[in-house]
Amino acid sequence: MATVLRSKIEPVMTQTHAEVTRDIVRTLETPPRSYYLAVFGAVFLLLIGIVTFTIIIKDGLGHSGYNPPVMWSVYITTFVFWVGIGHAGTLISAILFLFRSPWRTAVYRVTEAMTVFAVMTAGLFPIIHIGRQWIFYWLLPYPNQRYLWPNFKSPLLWDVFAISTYLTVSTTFLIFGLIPDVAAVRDKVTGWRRFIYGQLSMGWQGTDNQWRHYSRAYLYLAALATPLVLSVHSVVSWDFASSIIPGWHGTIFAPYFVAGAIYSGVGMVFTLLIPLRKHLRLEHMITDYHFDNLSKLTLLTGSILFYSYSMEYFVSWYSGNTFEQTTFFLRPFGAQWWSGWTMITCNALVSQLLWFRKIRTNLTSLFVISIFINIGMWFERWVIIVSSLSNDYVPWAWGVLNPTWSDWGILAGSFGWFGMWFLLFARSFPIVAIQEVKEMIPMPRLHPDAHGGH
Amino acid sequence: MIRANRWRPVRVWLAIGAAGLVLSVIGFVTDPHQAYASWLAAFAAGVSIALGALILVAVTHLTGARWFDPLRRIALDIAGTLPLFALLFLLLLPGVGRLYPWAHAPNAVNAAYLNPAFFVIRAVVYFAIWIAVGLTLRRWALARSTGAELPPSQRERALAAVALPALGLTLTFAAFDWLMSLTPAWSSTIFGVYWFAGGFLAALALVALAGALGPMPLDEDRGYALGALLLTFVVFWAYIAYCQYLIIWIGDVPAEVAWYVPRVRGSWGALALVLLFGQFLLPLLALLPHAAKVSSRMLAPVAAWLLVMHYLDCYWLVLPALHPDAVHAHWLDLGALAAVAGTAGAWATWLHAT
Repeated sequence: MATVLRSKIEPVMTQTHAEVTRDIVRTLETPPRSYYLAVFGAVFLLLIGIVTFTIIIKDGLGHSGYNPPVMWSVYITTFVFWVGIGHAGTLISAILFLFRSPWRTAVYRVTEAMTVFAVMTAGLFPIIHIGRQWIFYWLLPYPNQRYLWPNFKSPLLWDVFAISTYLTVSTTFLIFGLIPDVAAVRDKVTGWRRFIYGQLSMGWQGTDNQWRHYSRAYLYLAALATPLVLSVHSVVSWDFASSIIPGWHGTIFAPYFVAGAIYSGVGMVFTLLIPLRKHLRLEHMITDYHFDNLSKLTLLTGSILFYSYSMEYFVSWYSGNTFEQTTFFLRPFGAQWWSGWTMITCNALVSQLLWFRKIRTNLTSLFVISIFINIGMWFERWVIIVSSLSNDYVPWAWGVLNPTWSDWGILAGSFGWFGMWFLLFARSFPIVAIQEVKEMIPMPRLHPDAHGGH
Repeated sequence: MIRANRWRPVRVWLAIGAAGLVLSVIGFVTDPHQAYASWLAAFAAGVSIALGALILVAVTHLTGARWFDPLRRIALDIAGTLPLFALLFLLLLPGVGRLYPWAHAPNAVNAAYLNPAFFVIRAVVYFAIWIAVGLTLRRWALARSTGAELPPSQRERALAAVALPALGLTLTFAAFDWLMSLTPAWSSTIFGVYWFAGGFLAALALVALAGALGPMPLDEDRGYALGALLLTFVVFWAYIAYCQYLIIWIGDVPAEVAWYVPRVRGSWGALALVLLFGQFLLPLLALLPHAAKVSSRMLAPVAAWLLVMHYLDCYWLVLPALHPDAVHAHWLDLGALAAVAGTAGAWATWLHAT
């Protein structure tokens, strides 16, 4: 087995330090036209979102179809969707760092950047959703003359803390990890670029002393970021589970949401990484080996989702609670059966394809699966939120909500916002961690064969 | 002389087990309600450790954890006690009517699931899967010409991958059947994960303890890996316990809190606090320093402590069903614990010696 693994990381191992720097710094050169087209597309989507948001501010949330009993829909769905995307990044950059997994090095920068931009996107949604956006700061507990405080027993307030902590820590982690790489870029470029990268590298010279402090600090940051992988999405899940709405009130929600978050996050990593690697000509650095391991992570988390869905359905039947049973019956067989089946198929079933190595190492199939994952995970949150609210304890008041143009406009805008930041980042900073890839290169030896097994 | 020494631990464990069995059999006749409840608590703690060890073997096969190679034999021997637990489960069967209210309630909402016949059929399926996987993985590991200390072969890895989903599901439904259904009107989607978390943590602790006390003390690498995993699963257990408690406490639905009310009041509440400190806060603090993880001398007492806590955890899950008012410590608790631990200890040390 060891030999198989070694051959799979060979492409990076055979390169010299200089070649690694050259290949990665090359990605920051003047981009081709296709890149500008992509940025333009993202900005266009963002504009759609901005226009829609402006109309919502002017007219109110009536456009979003909110009507009792369904007062949460696409905005909260998309909020959870983007928060979830972020989790794979922290898992890969922090937890796998602590586990010393060799395959994280080539992909973690992409996932970290994705995390920061996904959380930045998610953070907009509670503000869009609250209706009176200009007093969003009421969400924060601050001393005020009215002696009014938010409800500290409400998970919605915990969310404010969870998300802002997460954004702070993941941004710090990203910027901190960039320092040595930005310094490497600084040493390769000239003119005003050199000045900017020079400022951002914070005086990095790569001395032994700097490295000693840096590695220590990176370890502690990773350890601090690790609990966030569990805590943030647990708190998001409690937005739902802490109420007694049928379909929300499940004790398994926290680990179930965390697994779903990582699943959706790795799905988005595939969606971003597969085209990006080709576009930036990094095929020799991000290889089958990485995709195989990412796929196994997807299989694991997808199977946990499968398990959680099974538990929900089984326990709703076992409990004998009519309302729980009705909610879970209506998900696959009610008015919005298509969304229920989309969720089950794209998450529980499609993930099981990754049992096969052929699929795990075929980039076309992985890309297609990743699109299914993105769709499935959006629908999972949509089903959980809307189908549960549609059928609560007062059957007389049951109702169905269908998304409106404003929902789609904001959703499109969120992809534009995320895509714009990600694209700008990918051409401004090394998208593969130069220093960590270099650490994978074996030390030069006079007689490499003399050491045999090493 | 050497031979005699090899079998000595087996004999010691067997003596403990025999004494416990005699006490328990007396209890089954004289005080069956208490005896079966005590038996269930000890059995649930023991079988979850054997399952945890099996899952640990399967997971390390798949992740390719090289540090685990010298410890694999220990874990396989622990998982090898699963056939014994099938026998110990047989002793529980006459008590089903006394332990589980659903055995006499044919009109209950979930009677299609909770009835004696289906209960037994499911248990047969669980044990068939567990024993088949456990014995096969063990046989294949020992059949390697080079011994169990080397990396697993391709077929072992394949079996581990296929077995894990089956193990996860059977373990969950076993937790529902044997523990959750003690209160048939109560249900919690996370309950299977809770029992897994406790059992897996205890299995790690037992592997660490056996490794630390074994002929080859843990080296720094292995100690660190085990210590870090123990730390992780101490936190994981607490996280799962908290998830269940928070959701049920904050929802405050009568049917749901009914399970917690006896378990968090009075002396049961004190035991719950013992678990909070003993299975979470204290081991968390003890395992945080690097020095604690890399030294066998530090790791062994923490591991032993965690094993005691896991038994108390299972005790806290089972016994309030019999004594909802307060903890009634009983000599049959010790009898059942001695019977399960003694026979399982004898079985595992016998497997280890052969």
